[in-house]
Amino acid sequence: MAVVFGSMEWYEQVKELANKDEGFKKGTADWEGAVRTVVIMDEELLKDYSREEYVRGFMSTVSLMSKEQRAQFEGTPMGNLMKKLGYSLDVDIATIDPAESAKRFSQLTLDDVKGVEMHGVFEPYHGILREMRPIMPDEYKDARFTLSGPYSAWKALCSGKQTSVQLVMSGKMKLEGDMSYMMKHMAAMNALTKLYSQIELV
Amino acid sequence: MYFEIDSGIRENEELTMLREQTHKFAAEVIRPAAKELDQMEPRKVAQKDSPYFDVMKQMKKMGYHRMQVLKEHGGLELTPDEIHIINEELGWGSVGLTTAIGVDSIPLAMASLAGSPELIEEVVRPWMEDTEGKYHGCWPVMEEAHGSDYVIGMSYPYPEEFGNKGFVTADRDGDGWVINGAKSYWTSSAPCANYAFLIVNLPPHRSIADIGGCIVPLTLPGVTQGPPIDKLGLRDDPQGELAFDNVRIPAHYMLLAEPVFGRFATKGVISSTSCGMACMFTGLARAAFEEALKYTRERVQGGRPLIEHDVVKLKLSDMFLKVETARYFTRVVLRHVSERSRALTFDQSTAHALSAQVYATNIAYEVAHQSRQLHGANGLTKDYLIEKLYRDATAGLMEDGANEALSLEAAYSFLEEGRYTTE
Repeated sequence: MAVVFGSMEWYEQVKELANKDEGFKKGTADWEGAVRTVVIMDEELLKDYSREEYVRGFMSTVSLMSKEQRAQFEGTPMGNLMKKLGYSLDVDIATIDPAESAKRFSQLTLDDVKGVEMHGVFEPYHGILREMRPIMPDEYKDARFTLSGPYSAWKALCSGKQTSVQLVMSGKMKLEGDMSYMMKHMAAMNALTKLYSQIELV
Repeated sequence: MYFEIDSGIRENEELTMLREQTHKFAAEVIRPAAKELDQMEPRKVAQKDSPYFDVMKQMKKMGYHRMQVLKEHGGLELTPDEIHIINEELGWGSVGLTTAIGVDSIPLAMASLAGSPELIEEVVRPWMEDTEGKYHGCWPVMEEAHGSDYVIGMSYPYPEEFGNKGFVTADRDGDGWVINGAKSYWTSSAPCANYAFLIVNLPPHRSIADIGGCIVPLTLPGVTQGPPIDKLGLRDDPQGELAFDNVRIPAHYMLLAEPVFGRFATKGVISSTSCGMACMFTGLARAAFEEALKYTRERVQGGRPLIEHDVVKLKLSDMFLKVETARYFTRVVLRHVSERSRALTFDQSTAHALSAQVYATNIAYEVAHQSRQLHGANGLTKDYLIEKLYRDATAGLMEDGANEALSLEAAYSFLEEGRYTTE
């Protein structure tokens, strides 16, 4: 089943695939450490999110946050985005109409989403993907690595058009952390991002 | 033709055919053209009516520029054994022209491996389809002020000691990058090429280790291609300076924009080029050995052919040992480096690759010297091929860096990679 990149369904599919994929087990056999991921909203996201199914995917991750957690976004680019979409931070997500939200997304400009980030984490550990979920911005601050980039770069990665190594090398994505460890364990990074490209996207 | 000791290769009909076909091309096209180019004025070698361009066109028709490019982008993606055979045979014909086709494919191979879909469509695909020699690549890496520094700078723990001046720099400017500086006149094919995979120094320009790499069309405003230099050997490989004055490239032409990855990716490129050099100089060593065999069978001294003297047999035996060990060492290294380079995992063992180049170029020089000695005074004249082979072998001791620098980087690499343990 095709899923929206970054939705709960997408996270679930990656996790399920990882734990039965031999290439992943082999590639991450020696790996220890979490990778924090940061998706930065861009023009391509605005284009995609003007479609109902994408908004539904986005809301599926927002719905995981409690009202208290969402309150932390007050005054941040994400909080401002919610306001521009016409929603308060304590809105009942179940009452949001994805079709209406998609319409509102289509009226936004790049300035409206400037600085808005979506965070996640994946943590392979000796061949098992033990953590893979969306997170709050203040979680996993001490992760061994942070992989960040615009939504368009993540889509290129997840659709298999480019690998994480290619995207980082060309500067389209940024990788921060213990680089000497990474260089010795590049196979693990490749194994995980290869999984991403096996998930069929909407 | 030599006896192939590896039965897996000897009994493989396709590889045998490839070897014979490439050898024929090297004997009939490369070697005569290289001989002619060797005796021409450097300026004329790089002119459009030079045999150089005719040979490049013929090599493109044979698909030698497509050897390492991924199949999905129109390349041949040959196996390491196929690449080894082709490079040894072409190197047997002449290392200079083989270097030219080798550097030609570097921008292509890099764009294919690390480029965006946009770059593949703009550059790689049309290049792959080119059989007329419209595209010609090069790999400018050294600056005059630094020479072999770049090799050691990749793993040396204190790269700031090399200073932060004298590099070709790339800086972000809006949607693209701006390039300034000059690459030294040791850049192979620079006077003839129209594309480069250019090694640059990236912001914050702290040291030689801030390495990046980009594709640069040499037809862009601000690029100056210097004339070919006059040199001792490899005269069929025109080398010259490249200068960049505020040359703008689009962002997607920058393949290595992140210094840490740039450093490891450049080690990957050097590992591949070192393997290429190792194969080619194995070919040169074999050519020099064969010239010695031929000459000592014909030349009578002391009342019988030279080859019947035991002292000559001993020399030939020593040359044979060197050529054979070079072939099998370089082949095994190439297998590993190719496999790991394509996986982009940066664990290709640069130490082995550099050592393969150092070993093959050293033995090529020694064998060419021994062969030239066996030719007596005839070996000093242009009537005998060994005279050219000896000069080419001398140039091989400083291909992509002096052998001493390559050896030093090999040591730093295996210490850094931590694979050689005593436990």
